[in-house]
Amino acid sequence: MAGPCCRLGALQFGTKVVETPGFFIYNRSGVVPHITPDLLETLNNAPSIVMHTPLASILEEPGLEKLRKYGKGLANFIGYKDNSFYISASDYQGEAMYQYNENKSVSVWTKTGRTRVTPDEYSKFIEACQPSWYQCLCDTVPANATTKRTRKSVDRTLEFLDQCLNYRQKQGNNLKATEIWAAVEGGGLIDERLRSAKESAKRPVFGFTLEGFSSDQMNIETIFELLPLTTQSLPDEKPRLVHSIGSPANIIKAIESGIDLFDAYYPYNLTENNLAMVLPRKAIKSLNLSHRLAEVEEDENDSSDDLQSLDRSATFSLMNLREDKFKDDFTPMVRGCKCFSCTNHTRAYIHHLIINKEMLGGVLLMLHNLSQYIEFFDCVRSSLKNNKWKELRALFKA
Amino acid sequence: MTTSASSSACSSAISRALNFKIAAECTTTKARACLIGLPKCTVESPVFMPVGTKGTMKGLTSKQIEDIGFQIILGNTYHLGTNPGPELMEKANGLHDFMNWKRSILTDSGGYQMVSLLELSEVTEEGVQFASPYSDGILLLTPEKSIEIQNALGADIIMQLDDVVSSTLVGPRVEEAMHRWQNNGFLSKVLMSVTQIRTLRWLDRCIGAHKNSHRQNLFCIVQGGLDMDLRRKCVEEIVKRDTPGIAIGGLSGGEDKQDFWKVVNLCTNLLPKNKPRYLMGVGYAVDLVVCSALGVDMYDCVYPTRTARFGTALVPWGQLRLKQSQFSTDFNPIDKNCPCLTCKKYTRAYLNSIIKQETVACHLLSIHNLTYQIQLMQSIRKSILEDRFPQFVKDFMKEMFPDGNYPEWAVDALASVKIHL
Repeated sequence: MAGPCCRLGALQFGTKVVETPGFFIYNRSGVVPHITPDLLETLNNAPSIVMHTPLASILEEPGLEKLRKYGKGLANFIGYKDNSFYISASDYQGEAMYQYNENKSVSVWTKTGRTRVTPDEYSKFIEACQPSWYQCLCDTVPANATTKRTRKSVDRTLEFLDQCLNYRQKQGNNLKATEIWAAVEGGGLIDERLRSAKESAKRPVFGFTLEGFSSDQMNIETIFELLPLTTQSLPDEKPRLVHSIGSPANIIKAIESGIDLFDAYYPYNLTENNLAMVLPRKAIKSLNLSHRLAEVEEDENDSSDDLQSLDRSATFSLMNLREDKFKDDFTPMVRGCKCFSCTNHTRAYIHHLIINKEMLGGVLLMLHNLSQYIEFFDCVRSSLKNNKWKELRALFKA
Repeated sequence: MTTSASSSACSSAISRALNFKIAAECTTTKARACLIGLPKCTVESPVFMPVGTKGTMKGLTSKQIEDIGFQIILGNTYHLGTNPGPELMEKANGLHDFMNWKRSILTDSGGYQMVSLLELSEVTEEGVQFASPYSDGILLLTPEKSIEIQNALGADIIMQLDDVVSSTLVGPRVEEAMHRWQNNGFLSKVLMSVTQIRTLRWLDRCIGAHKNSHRQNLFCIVQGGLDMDLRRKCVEEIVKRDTPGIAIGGLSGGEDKQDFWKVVNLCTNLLPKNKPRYLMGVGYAVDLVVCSALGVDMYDCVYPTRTARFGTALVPWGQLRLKQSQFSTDFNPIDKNCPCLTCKKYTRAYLNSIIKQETVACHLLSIHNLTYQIQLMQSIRKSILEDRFPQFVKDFMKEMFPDGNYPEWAVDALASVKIHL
């Protein structure tokens, strides 16, 4: 039986459905890093992809004025008019600079530096963007913040939420077609977490994002101690999203803690480090967890030294394409993977691109990693439907 | 000069690896629309070949290049010969398989790259010597070595190694040497003459070293600087080698455009009609149109992809430098008539906003610029096939220079083939 809080569900918007557990794709300044729209279309279920755009990457450029002048919303402006968007107030890359937040505003860090953003200013910006969903403005502290500061972050975030909600009630506001998510704070303090969750749950919001749970803000034991306790105070029928939990093992644990949605920093960060995800295909196939899996040849003569055995291993692993051993390996990155990169190119070529600092290396790795991530979530949902959760945990070392 | 054995080896190779057909000739100018049948793909000319330096078109996939419509691309022997090197290329079954490009490829000899990138030590009869960028040693690129690497790369068309001193004015040492001779016309002529004769000997060595003439076409390169006599002599000799195609080198180095077109014109007048003519390093729109009128069939240039990475978009009326603030609220596409992905989905304002921060901006602009180039070449070709090329040229120039301030060299060049602007 799956963990106590695992949930299967779906988010519906228009005619599209995002099944949960699932994830939103990281989109910065309107682009998925490295990927042009024609290449994005090669991913499975591309039209249902939800783009996660952090505020910091669009606040300055294009910025409020430009978007207002344009008048057709963010999705159109950045060339993805058929996709849905979720705008997060926080940016989850780089150091969180919570000490610069104030009672009336949050500091957002862009290329030119610091910008203070109040809830009203944020709401106006969201109006110009017209995303499907947006996170409310929030003040997030790490687990080692003082009790006083942690309490303040909960108070402030609730205040910000109320102001954002007030804006949505105002005469003539243009937020009717978008939904707001509350941000649950509380740092490392269980009481504050519960308070934030219960208070947020009283407000009319679409869903909840759980903040401060990245590994540089909280140690891993605390994360999986606090997550389930927090989600238990949230209404069952509303979705829960956590940012910056990305490795398959941690995602599995987070799902067991009652989380439905994740972001895609993990495949992006892997790509930036020349790493490729390797799903354990043979094992997945034998468990019948992926209906899209290509035939994996049964090769009895596989030795464990064989490079190919990397994609035959029994558990999830990572491959570093920079390594010299790939320079004359003319097989695909992961045999049986149907992504664009594995269908068209070889380990040797991608290795060559990386060593020569060619942009195409990033393109091919990113496509592969996103594709593998999509397939991982397919396996997650499949294992929940077919009662194979324990086996999934073993495959991904959770 | 050349043994009859190597000459006949070339002739028989022509029919095997390259099948050339003139589909139409312009009845006014010297323009032709041809079909160049190569081992991997038949190429329609006039054709522009984008440059995929290290086995990649700077951020674009082979499929994207194919979808834009290119039938032939260029790869750089120096870069690929160093990294990953000829042994690995052989293991990979050649460059086509390595980068998964199913159509045709042309590789250069590696000489030009080395001159522009490395410190030139010395040119001897043996080859070109350079200081190695990786160690204290000396690198020697001989005609044989260049052909060996190009054989391993397996391109449909390969280029002879020419004496690079005569062919270019780039590189600090070369400029130095050329400066010394510049004020002395006679000595300059002598220098040119010496290097040009060497180029012919190197061509013969290339022909001798070439192992795959049944599936790779070795093109020679006509040199001679801006001296009409030397060019004439070079053509006379080089044509005797009977290579499947002929390139015109030593131009596009920043020389005066009046000299440029006259040399091109002379060469196309003298070169055999039944072989493709490849003008190296030319890629600006006006140059492509004018030189096609003068009878050139093939071109290559890094310009469209390089300028894309600097934020410049090519359009029928010139260029848009998208970094400029005037575009920050311009919600039009780059060119509303352009069918490319970038123009279909994006505005100038958006590209302006991401240009300095996202590599995707480079990809999107490269896609647009390459689409512009191929559309231009396809329009040139279509107008020749339909025998309305002169009108096409006039319309093109009018759109590019709406105030009628045509560059003088272009006016003169076109007038020489009976197009009067």
